[in-house]
Amino acid sequence: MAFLRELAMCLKRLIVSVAVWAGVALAQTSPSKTVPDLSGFWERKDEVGGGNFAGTFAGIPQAAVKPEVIEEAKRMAAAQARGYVVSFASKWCLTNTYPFFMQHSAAWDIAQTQDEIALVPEVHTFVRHIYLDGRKHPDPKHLMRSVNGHAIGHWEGDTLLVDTIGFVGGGGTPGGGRVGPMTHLTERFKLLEGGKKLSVTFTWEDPAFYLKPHTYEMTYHRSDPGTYAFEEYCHADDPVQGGSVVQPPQK
Amino acid sequence: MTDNFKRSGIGAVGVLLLTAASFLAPAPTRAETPNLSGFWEMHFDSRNVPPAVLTPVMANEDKSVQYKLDMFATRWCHFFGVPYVMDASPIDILQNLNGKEIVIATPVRNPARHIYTDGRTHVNPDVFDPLSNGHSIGHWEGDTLVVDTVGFSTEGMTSIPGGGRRTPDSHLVERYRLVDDGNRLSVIFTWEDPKVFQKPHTYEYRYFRAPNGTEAREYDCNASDENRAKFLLDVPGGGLK
Amino acid sequence: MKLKLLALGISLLCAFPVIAHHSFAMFELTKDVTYEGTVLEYRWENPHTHIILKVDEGAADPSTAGTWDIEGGATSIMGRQGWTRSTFKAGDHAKLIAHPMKDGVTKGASLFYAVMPDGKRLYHDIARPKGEGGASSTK
Repeated sequence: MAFLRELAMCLKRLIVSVAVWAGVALAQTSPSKTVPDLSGFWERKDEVGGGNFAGTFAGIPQAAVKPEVIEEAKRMAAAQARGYVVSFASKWCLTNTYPFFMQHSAAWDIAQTQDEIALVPEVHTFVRHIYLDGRKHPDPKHLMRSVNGHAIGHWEGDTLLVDTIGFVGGGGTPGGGRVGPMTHLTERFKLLEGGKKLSVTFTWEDPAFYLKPHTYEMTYHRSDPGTYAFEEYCHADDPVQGGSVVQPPQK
Repeated sequence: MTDNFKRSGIGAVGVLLLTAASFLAPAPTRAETPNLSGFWEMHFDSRNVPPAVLTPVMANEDKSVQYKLDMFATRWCHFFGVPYVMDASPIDILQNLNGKEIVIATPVRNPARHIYTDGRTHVNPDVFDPLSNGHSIGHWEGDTLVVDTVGFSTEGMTSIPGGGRRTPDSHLVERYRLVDDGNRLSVIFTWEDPKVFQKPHTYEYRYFRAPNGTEAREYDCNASDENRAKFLLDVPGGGLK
Repeated sequence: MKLKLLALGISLLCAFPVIAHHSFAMFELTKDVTYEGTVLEYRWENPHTHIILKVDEGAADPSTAGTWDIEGGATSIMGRQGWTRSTFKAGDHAKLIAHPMKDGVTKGASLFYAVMPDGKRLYHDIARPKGEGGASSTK
């Protein structure tokens, strides 16, 4: 009996030790084994057969925006109808503001570490940094506005939740939304189809522009293996930057 | 019986000790490679840059030639490229958890550097469009990341620390290694370019690990700003009233 | 006219971000025209690649006769779709499907895709013809 008691105690210690060891090993395991791997190149594809680039946004809901936003869009449309082809921002290669590269036809890259995820575009803008180290947004007194905003994220199961404030603003969103200095963005990143696709749901809020939060989903396809980054250079000094088609001499 | 008990007890203690040891070990990022991720700063004593041994043509070139090239790129907000971005402190290194790529982001308006560590080779130059950052592939040799870059364009700030400039024929090898218990990052740059250097040009940077909570900056560039353009291209002080 | 502007504005609200690079309002984006002829220039550059194409008199579509500036996308966008700086060169035969100018006069168009000698399509960006989207919309 004494032997059996000793054996039982020994086995109990062994089981507890193994359980503790396994738990610690799991906790210390590279996060890539416990959170999804979003890293790699991603590209939009035309899911709907849009017929042209504008058509690839079919299915994006229209933002409920204030009348003055609609009026400004009408003024821009009228200007374009009168021949205003290349915007000032484009002619001078001004920095593309978020979320421009997320709806562009160029690929973009995700780099993923334990403490940070970076969205890495090819266009003339900055890398977007999403901090995962538990930091909060800076005090408004110390917040430096940026084209990509100040983004903090955390995982909820297999979904990356990102909260962003502090945009310099000036750009627009699919569905006719706008981004300004007081805009608040919530995003949800989630892998689909075993990692072949990435879903990003955007929710924009800003009482300066929206009558209610503007939410839409964009889906990206994982680029082919071996994909490498291009650089979409922009030369404001080149006369072609400010132009479009030019009828050639008729030969 | 007592001996068996003793042996069982020793075994259990052994397991407990192993458990404690694994609890204290640092978390790995990828099988046995150092983790270079994080923000890294240049301080006043971060650079060891000897003069390059230039070819006679480069050595005799008027200094204003390179100056004008670099100021043009700055004035017109072109992508600056390598090597300039490695001086744009702090740099943010993101070493993918899956080991396939390392991205280096900087505060200047320039595409990030992509160092592909998935075993690929350089792209066929017949189809590759040269880049300001070139095309970089890397592999680990023990605790050192060795990065090989070719495929540079003429875009941007092409001057190289110590002399010479980056050209489409340039070949850069970098060696990244953590030193000082991981508090500093050594990067040794070696440039080869037969039209620029008589022999390979090597210099070393040692970055300091930036404080926890360091935030990325965006140093924006606005080519339409006339005052900015005057400041950059005029005689110093010429634009001041 | 006001209704047309309103419709255009609403369609823009639904489509483009406010700061778009380049308005496509000058092109008939819903019309696809085939331009087939000889490449005079292939300019692989940003912000747009340009293919200068000479379509001979006697072309299947007489309205396409002449020398055209067919505008593509940035090299990074087209590169993703399989284009390179060597896809065409002066002297090559090319069959380009493009959206013509609304004014009906300027010999310029916005490239949709090229049909290569093996029948493969090289699209200029991610857009695909109506009804050809979804999982099949790969390069």
